[in-house]
Order: sequence, then structure tokens, then C-alpha cells
Amino acid sequence: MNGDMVQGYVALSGILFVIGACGLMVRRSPLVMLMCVEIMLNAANLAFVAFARYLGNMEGHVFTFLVVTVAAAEVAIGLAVIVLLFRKRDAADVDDVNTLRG
Amino acid sequence: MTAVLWIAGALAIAGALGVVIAKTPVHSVISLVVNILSLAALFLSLQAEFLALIQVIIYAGAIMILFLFVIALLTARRDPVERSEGKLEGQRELGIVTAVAGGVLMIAVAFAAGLGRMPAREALPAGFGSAAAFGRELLTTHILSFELTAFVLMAAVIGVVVLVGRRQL
Amino acid sequence: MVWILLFPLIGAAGLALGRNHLSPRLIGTLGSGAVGAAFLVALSALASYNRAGEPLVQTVFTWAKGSGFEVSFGLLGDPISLWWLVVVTGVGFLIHVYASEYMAEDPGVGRFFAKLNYFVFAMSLLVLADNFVGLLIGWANVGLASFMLIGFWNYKPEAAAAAKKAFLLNVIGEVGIILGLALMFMEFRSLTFAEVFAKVGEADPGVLTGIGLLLLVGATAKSAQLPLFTWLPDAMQGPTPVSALMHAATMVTAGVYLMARAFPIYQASEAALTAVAWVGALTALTGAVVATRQVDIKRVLAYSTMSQLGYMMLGAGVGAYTASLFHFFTHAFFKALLFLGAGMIAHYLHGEQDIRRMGGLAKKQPFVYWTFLIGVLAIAGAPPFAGFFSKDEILGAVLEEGHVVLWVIGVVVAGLTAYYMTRLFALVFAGEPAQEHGHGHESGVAMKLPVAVLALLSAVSGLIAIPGVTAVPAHFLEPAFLRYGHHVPHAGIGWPVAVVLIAAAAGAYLAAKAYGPGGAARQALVATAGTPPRGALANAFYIDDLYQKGVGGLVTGISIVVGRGVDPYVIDGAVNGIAMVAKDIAEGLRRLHGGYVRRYALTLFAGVAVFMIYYILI
Repeated sequence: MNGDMVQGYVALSGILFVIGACGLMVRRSPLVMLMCVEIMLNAANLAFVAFARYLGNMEGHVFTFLVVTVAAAEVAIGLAVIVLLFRKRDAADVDDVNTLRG
Repeated sequence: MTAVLWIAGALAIAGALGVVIAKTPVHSVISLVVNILSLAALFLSLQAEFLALIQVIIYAGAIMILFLFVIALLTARRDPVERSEGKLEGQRELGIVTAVAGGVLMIAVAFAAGLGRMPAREALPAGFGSAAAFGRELLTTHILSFELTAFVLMAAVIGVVVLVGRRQL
Repeated sequence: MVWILLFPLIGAAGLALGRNHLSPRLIGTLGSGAVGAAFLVALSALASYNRAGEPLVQTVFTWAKGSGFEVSFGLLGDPISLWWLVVVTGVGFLIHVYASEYMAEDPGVGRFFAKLNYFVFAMSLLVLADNFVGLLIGWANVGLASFMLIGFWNYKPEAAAAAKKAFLLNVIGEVGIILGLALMFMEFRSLTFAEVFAKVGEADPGVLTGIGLLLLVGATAKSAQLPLFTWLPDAMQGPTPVSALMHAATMVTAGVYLMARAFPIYQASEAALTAVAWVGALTALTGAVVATRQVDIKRVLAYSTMSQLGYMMLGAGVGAYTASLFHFFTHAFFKALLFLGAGMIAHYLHGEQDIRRMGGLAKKQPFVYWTFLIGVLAIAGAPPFAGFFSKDEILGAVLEEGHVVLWVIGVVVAGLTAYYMTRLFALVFAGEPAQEHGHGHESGVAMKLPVAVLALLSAVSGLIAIPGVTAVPAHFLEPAFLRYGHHVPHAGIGWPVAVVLIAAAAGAYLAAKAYGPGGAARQALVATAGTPPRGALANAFYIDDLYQKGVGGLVTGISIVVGRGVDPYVIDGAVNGIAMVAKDIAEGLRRLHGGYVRRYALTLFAGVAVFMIYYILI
């Protein structure tokens, strides 16, 4: 696409990332927090793909693919942990999980 | 095709905001799916066809389903947690402020970085974004990463089984 | 010569170690023997000096040897030091013999003789050293010996307090001396007598005055001059032999020795010399005045010592060193005699020392009566006893050098001396006893013999100094002073002598009238027996109280402020405060680790935002 500027995609990526970060800080349900992490990962993916197009290099795509794979693994483990949390403490509030305090 | 950018972008943002704002976890999941699909559309506009495919199949198709199942399992009859009072004071406000500040900065960076225009479609290498080109790239230059990723996946599977699997079979 | 030092030192060490194993008689004999041996060595040194005609020099050991310079510690036997040595060891020997009986029943007799021997050693070191550092070492050790012996009966709180007071005041003097020596070293780059005195002519007059005044401070403290005398009356808490030896005959004269030894410095500085003279004169006056109202035998004698030391300082202060030294010589005899006599009286009366309770001892103790009388006549200046000659030599020289006011003061003091001594004598010996004492404890030979010897010496030693006829001390001592260019003034016999005699006679007559048997003042005084004396004179113008409350209060006040205020609040506060600050910082930082994941996330992103701001905008 001639004439398209890459800044728009990058800015969008930034906005999405920040929204995800905000959600991470504000919400207290662990499930929603995990989803916000996914948003952030996606935002990064978008940036990668945009730059891959800008530079004409497929490496960005490869990296995106790897991110997706790792994100999948991470979600699996994260959900397992959340299940455990719910089993043990019936904690729906992440703030209750603060026994690792200093 | 800036129209695609604007529309899909707006949808993505709306989806993301929806995740943050939604009252129940299920609503969050739905918003997230919207976000992912919009992103797939954006990938298409950037000639990353294979990746758009991957996004839809794996992200929206597998990961989100996983989320839904777990939500259903755990919080089916519960009140959403944010009904009760929060414990950390100022977290909300500070969080929003930080996020807005960060956002502004990101946008500023994006536009001030001196990036040029994207090259024309004809100037791209042949088969850019196709599965063949992607496979070639992945399995030749980045073969090590590929193998390691497989390892990671295996670790994840084992981890899940160890963590939540039943003791007696 | 060094054996003069070693005999008493070995005696002290041996007695200290063996004090619990030897019998009192043996202890007394050994102690006296050590000092006696030292005396014999001193006499032989005297003989060597007379043969040689030159001062004796003996290097004891070499401290440091470098290229071109050598620092050694040595002994100097010149007329001045030999003069002192003979008195110290001789009178010391007599007093040791006396003490061997006086202290025989005291459980600490071994300790006593060890300390007394140690004192003789230290005093000999003081006068024998050939440099100021050795002098100072002897000085300090003598102060230590004084402390140990004043507080000998350490179970008595008054004795301990007196020892402390003596030591403190002495330390003030020592500070003065050390400062003076520092100045001396800065100016002359040496502290040996020979080297310093040779260069006095080229030195800065201001520095010399400073040195002179600082050394005077030291002498003031040690010789109980005004205003650092308050320790001497209290020092009478020590056993009488101690009072006799140290606080009458020898230790307190160390200040006079210093003035005489450092005479080239004083001769070069008019101001310092005048200061010495005035300090001496005023002290003599004060001591005599206060002595007229004292009621304890030993305190009368203590103030009397102070007054006579004032005379010696006065003599040194006008340059009449031979007269001053001769007065030291005679004073040692009659003052020791008086103290030992007082000891015999106390012994006889089972420890009584208040003269208001005495009287009528003339019949009961004839030996003491006659010997004490000789002492009183000697100190009052009655011819032909020793005091007459020495006192008049000093006063004559004062007048000859043109110091009329000082001379008048000296004459007044002579009158007062006669007055208070007669008062003492009358109250103790004459008339009827004020109280009955029962059967008295008679003294033995060991006590009587030294007293007899001292009485004899007090009587006849004056005869060696008849001006123009015998003049032995003058001839002996003069070469030491001529060496550095000082001509000692002489006085002949003339009308000033008559004036002094009249003053003394008047004083004696007045006292006899008031305090003799049937005298009005006597009865009034005796009636007050049992109460402490009142009045400014009796309490030495309250100077001691001033020191106790003023300086003592100041020091205590500072201590309280520091101890209760500064220490807990400032110092502890600072240390604890640092700990508190650390604790608060830690507590604050601790909150970063609340355990709340969301907080961590916030911190993370906030930090990133800050970084981004920094890099992008700045």
C-alpha cells in the first residue's frame, strides 16, 4: 500500500499495550488480569508485523508466531495456577494472595 | 487502505477497553475475541496472511475457548469480585494516570520517530506473507527457536498435568 | 651518685614485696637503713665535689644516639643539688628512725615504709636530674608519693579527700610546668640545664617571662603558695612522720628548688622574678595571719610551713638564692623538729591534737618541752638559734635590693610568726591542763633520739652562716650561681636586724600575755573546745571553700550537664537517631513489597513511564 504510514500501526500498538497495562493494574480478578496480558502480547505482535511490512522482512512474522506459541503455553500454565488458587483459597481477589510480602 | 486501519483499529481498541471495563469475566472474554479478530483484520491489511490465519485459529479458536472453559468451571455462580471494596488505595487512579501518560508517550514516539512510508506492494519480495515464505523463514533461519518453542510447549503440558492433574488415575 | 637513688628504690621495692612477712622492727630498720645508706653516699658525693671543685656529672644511660646528637639521662651533683640531697637523705633518715617506733603498731607499717622510701627516691631524683625532664619525672613521682602517704589511712574519708585534693592541685602545677617546658623546648631545642642556661642570653625575653611564670605556677602548687595552698592544711591527715618529712622539710621545698635551679631564666626576666617575690611575700603573710587562729597543732604548723616557704620564695624572688637556700636548710631542721614533737605529744595524749584541750605538759613531758622550745625559738628568729640567721639573711638581702614594701611585709610576718608560735607553745605546755588525760603514753628512744639530734641542729646550725665570719653556705653555694653570671647579694649585720628582733619580741610578748597561764584569751579559747573554729582567719579567708564550691561546683555542674543531658540526649540521641532513620527508610521501602501483584505491576509501568519521559523529553 503505497502512501500508508507505519506510524498509525505503531501508535495503535502503543495504545493497545497501554490499555492492557491499565487493565492489569486496575482489575482484581485473576482471569481478567490474564486476559489483559494477552492484550499486551497482541499489541506487541501488531508492532512486529507492521515493521515486518515496513522493512520487507519476514522475520517479524516468525517472531510473532513464536510469541503466539509461547502465549498459548503461558495461558495454559496460568489457568492451571488460577484453578489451583480457586481450589485452595476460594480466592477470586488477587489482593488476597499476598503472603509473599516483604 | 487506511479505512481498514481506522475501522479495525477502533474495533481493537473497543475490544481492549471492553476487557478492562466488563463486569463479568465472560464479557471480558467476548471483548477479547473481538479484539483478536480485529487484529487479524489488521494483519491482513499488512500482507501477513498466514499470520492472520494463525491468529484466528490459535488465539481466538483455542486460547479463548480454554479461557471460557475455565471461567465456566470456576466462577459460574460467583459474584464478580469487583463488587467488594478494594484493598489497595490509590491503585485505580494511579493505574489510570500511568496508563494515560504511557499512552500519550507512545503515540508521541510513534509520530516523532521519523519513520518513513511503507514501501509499495509491488516492491515487496515475492510471496511476502504467504505460508510458503513463512515456512521457509521459520525452518531455515530460525530452526533453533522452533525447536525450543516445541520444548516450551511440552513443558507447559507437563506443567499443567503436574499442577492440576488428578493424583489417582 | 646513682646509688643515692638506688638504695631507697630497692628499699621501697623490697619492703613493698615483703610487707606482710617481716616484723615491724625489721621493716623500720630496713627502711631507715636504706635512707641512711643514701645519706652516706650523699656525704661522699659532697666530699668528691669539694675535692674536685667542679660539679659532678654522671650519665646514667643514653636514651638516643644519632649522628651528631645524643640524648642521655644524667645526674648532676652541683652545690644546689648536693645541698638538697644532704638535707633530704639526712633528715629523711632521722624521720625514718622516728617512724620506726611511731608507726610500729600500725597494721600497714610495711606499706608505710615502702612508700616513704619511694618518696626519698623520687625527691632525690628530682634534685639530682641534670635536665628538666628528669626533674619533672621526680616532681610527678613525688606528687604520687604524697598522694599515697596523705591517704595512708585509706579507711578515713577525710584522708582520702585530702589526698585527692593534694593531687588535683599538684596536677594544676604540673600542667604549668609542662607548658613551661614546651615553651622552653620551642625556644632552646633542648631541656638539659647546661644547654638551656647557656643560651638564655640569646632568647626572646617574652618567651623567658612566659617560661618563668609557668614554672612559677608549678612551684606555687607544690610549695603551697597562694593561691594553690589549700591542700597543705588538709595534708595533715597523713601520719605525722609524713607531715614532718614531706610537708615541712623536703617535698614542699621542691618549688623553691625549681626557682633556684632555673635562676638564669628568672634573672633574665624582670617580670617573672618580681612575680616570684610577690607570691612569696603574700603567701608568707597569709600563712602567718591564718596560723594565729588555728586550733589543731598540725594545722598551725602547716600554715607556718606555708608562711616560711613564702620566705624562701621571697628570697629567691630578689635573687638572694644563698639566703633562701640556707633558710630551707634551717627550716628543715626546726620544722621537722616541731612536727616530730607534735607527734610525740599526740602519742602521749592518745591522739589528741586540739590545743584547746592541752596545757600543762611542761611538767609531764620535759623532754618534749625543751626540744619544742628550741624549735619555737628557732622559728621565731631568736638568736643564736638557726632561724635568726637564715631569716635575717633573707630580709637583709630584700632590703638591700631595694624592695622596701616587701621588706616591711617580711618584718610583719616575723612578728606574726613569733606570735602564733608562742601562742601554740603557751597553750600546749604552760599553765594547767584544760582537760585531764589520764596516764600518758611515753615515747621511746627511737623517737627521742632523732628529735634530740634535730634540736641540736636547730640550735647550732645557724652558726655556720655568720656573715663575714664563717659564711659557709654562701661560699659553698655561690659558685653555682656565679657560673651563669649572677652575684648573690649579701647582708651584713645592721639596723634592719634589730628591727626584725624587736618585731619578733613584740609578737612573742603579746602572745604570752594573752595565752599564758591566766591570760584572758586563753580562757576564752579553751572554753570553745569541741567546736570548730569560726571566722575568716580561722578558715583561711574561705579560699578553700571557694575552690570547693566554685571550681568543684563548676566541674560537677558540667558533669551533670554532660552526663544527664548531653550523653543521653545528644550522643545517644544521635546514635539512636541514625538507627531510627535507617528503620524509617526501611519501613518505607518495605511497602514496595506488599505482596500485591497489582502493586508490582503499577510500580513496573510507572517506572517505565518515567524512563520514557526521561529519554524522550530530556
